[in-house]
Amino acid sequence: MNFLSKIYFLKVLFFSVIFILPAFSKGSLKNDSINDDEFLLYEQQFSKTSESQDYEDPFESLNRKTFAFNNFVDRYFVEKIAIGYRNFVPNPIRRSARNFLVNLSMPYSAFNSFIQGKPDNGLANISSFIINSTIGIAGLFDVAKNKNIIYDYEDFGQTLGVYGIKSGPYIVLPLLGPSTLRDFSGRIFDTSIDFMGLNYLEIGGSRDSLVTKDTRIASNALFIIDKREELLDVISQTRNESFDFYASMRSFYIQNRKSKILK
Amino acid sequence: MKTILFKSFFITILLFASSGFSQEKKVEDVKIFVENIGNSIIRIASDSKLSESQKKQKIILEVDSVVDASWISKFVLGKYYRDLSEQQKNKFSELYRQFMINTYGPKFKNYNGKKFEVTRVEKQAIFYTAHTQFFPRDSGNQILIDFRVKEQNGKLFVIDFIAEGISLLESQRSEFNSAINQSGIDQFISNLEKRVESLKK
Repeated sequence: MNFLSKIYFLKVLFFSVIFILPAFSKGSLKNDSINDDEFLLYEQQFSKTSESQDYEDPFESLNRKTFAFNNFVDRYFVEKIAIGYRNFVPNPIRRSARNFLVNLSMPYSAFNSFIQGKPDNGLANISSFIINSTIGIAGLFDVAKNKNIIYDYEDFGQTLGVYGIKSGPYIVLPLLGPSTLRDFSGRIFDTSIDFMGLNYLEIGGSRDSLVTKDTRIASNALFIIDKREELLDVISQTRNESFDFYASMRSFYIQNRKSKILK
Repeated sequence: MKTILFKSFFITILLFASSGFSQEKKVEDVKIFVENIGNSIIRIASDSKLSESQKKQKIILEVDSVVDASWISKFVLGKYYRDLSEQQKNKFSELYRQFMINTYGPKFKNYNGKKFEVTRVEKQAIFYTAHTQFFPRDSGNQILIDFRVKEQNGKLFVIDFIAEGISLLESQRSEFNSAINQSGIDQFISNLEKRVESLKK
């Protein structure tokens, strides 16, 4: 028995050490010298773009050239149109236009949510679409949001990511901007499948389109201007503040996409 | 014999319980710490007696007191940090602190009239993530920001802000490393110095 009680004491000592050690390790943080292990730990816990993670930019040289071209087009054309849109179109109208476009994308987002195994988000997409298309007058007013229907927008690039397809190399598309091989593939699918008959590429079911070609082009143009207006401040600040605008935009894009896939 | 066994059992239970309690307390401490930051920023930004320049200065001081710029400066420099001389390390660390508080601090001065809430705090390894939201009192979209916090010298410090899934820490590391790769560390530090000078004006 005496021997057993010694064993029990040893067990107590073992647990004591296990639980007291963290207190000592916190004490070690009081040392001003910063431990490299902390950075490693931070990377392991949170990093989405570190060198050890799956992000690659093998076409950086070409990407930078395309980025410079896009940047030129943006600065001298698209940004100016977006500023004009912000300055001359009253905010309630801009908000309604955005609501209308977001509402159109809901059925497609619901489709992606369901195949990603996110039924709650899919149902939220559908509920939002039904409420906003009816009570919200064709999606002009976001009534669903006031009813606390919260959802995420899901596209096919995210769906591929959820199914474990790697992002592949980072690419900058002429005029379209940052992407990856996976997201670009998803984008082609996104553009070809369209539940609202706004199919711009007219792949499959163009005869059933609900609207004319001109309206489709107009809605796409409005989408681009609206998106650019939404990002006016962020892009302008990044352009002015970054030491490497290309690297900053690449990092934003990759982090944002990864966080959406991991959600 | 029974007494010894009972005492040992009691000590074990006590150690388990105190460990859990200490963790819960720390999470609560982080919540209060971040709540104080958010509310303090809103209070300064909403103070009608302060001029824009006074607001800016006060918010910069607030950010400076809660952010561990030294830790962040080492992280964002990544692999290049090890190659610096002690003098360069100290210079970069101070320059980065000035750059950080003068670039990001003033952005919070637009947070006037907002409400702030810490929705939950998670512990991940030795770090804590506080999920927060700033939302306007009337209408409009809420701004979701995650504060990443760590303990240093027995005090809590913010080491990262995350908005829309984008971490400030990671973005800066990517940007700085790329800039250094393009033009070299000396040129980069020189550019940073010029930037800090222009931000202070």
